[in-house]
Amino acid sequence: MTPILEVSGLTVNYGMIAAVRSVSFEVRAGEVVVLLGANGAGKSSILKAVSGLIPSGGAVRFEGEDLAAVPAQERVARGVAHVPEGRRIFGNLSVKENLLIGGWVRTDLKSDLERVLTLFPRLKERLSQSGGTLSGGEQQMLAVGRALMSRPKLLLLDEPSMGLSPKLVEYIFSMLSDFHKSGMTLLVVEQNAAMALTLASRAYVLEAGEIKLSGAASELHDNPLVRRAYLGE
Amino acid sequence: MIYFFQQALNALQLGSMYALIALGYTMVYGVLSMINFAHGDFFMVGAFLCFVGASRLHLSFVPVLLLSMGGVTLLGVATERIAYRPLRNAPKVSAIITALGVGIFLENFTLGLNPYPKYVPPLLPSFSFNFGGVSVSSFQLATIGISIGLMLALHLIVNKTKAGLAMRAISADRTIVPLMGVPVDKIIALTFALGSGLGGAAGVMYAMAYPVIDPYIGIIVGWKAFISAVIGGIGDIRGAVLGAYILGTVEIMTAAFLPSTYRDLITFSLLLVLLIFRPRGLLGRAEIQKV
Repeated sequence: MTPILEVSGLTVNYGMIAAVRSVSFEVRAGEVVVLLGANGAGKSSILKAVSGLIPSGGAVRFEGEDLAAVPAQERVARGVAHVPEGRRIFGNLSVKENLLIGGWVRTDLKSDLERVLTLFPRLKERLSQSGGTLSGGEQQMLAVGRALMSRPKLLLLDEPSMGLSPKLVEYIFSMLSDFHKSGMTLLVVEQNAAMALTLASRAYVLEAGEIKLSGAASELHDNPLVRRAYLGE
Repeated sequence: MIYFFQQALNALQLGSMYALIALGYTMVYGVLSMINFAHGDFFMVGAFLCFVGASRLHLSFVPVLLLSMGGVTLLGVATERIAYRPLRNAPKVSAIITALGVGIFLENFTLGLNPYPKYVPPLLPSFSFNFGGVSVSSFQLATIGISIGLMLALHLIVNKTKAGLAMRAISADRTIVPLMGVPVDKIIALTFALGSGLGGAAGVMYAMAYPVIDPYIGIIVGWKAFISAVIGGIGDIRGAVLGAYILGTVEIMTAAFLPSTYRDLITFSLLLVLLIFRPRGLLGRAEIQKV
């Protein structure tokens, strides 16, 4: 079976600085794959290259098709949605408008909205409020909900737990686990390695723009190197 | 008192014209964080198209208005495509210098075609109504009525349509809008189209009020409209309209009750004082970024 996402020899440069150096990995349909690594290891750059937000070298294949010539906005229509780091909701738009713009590529917005609001009842109470007035946790729900509006086949999440209280982190991860069970494919970048590894099927560990380790999440969880560097032992 | 109301009506007319132009500045700033300094010259081209339509093609008012709006719309979209889009990610100053260059080009191109001031014949039958001593001319009525109509239409587009939603999203956070599946280039082109079209309409309003036009009319009128947008809070659509009516009122009332040579002195002083106390304008809000 061909993987839903196949990244090979991916490079990302910011001017003279190489953020990602020839990274190759794959995500199979229905999997949760986690990218671990310290700040600056190139995790976010990989997600941005996959969603088309930044230019990159190498190849990104989605459902077997090369995305090189496909601009970011068309990747959404093909089924790639990206929840960016720091949530980045539109503070001047209402909660409802934030969701509606997430569903730009969809035609039956009403049922998509209904579906997302069932997942996040908190957002339903705040539909007409402006996005900027939400709490951090609600903003994260909105960012995820906004991405789900496009009915993605592959959901990219960049630090979904960032800046949230432990309780909210647990909530967000249980949501992601539900998405996984419902058959969605997730590629997650996360600092909270312990949480991420319990959710993931497989993981890749990045260091200075290169993949240093990879394997099943359970194996990596027991790997002494990973335990020392990312699990605080 | 009648004199005051008469002047208030003039203020409404001038403010309407400024508002149409100020909207172009503020909309482009909203989506690109760039001041399109050629916008005043877009307005001038609108006035010249009005001249061409009225005096050469002998068109009546509505076709002339459509000609000016349509022509300037195309000009705005073409300028964005050719001159600004390649500089989208360049330093801001490059785009601003380019905009100034486009403006100078348009002035000199128009000058090169025919270097004499033009007289625009009246587009509407000249008559006036009398409301308790205040006389309202057909030109004033058309200017104010059409301006308000266009502004309402713009309000609906920005707040009630999908494209308008995308414009507002782009003005909040342009870099991530592609992740929503929104074709950002198309929305930016549409923003230029709308802003420029309104500028073209303002050119017609100007030619009706001041029928002798030359290629440099866009400079000072453009600056005044730009100031209107800054007073209201640049990037904010309601702000541009508010600022324009404030500026129109200040200008007319200064000329009406003080020596008229004080007009620009007071206008620009108003801008300076306002910027000291409200650097983001009346309706502009500080940018808050939650991390």
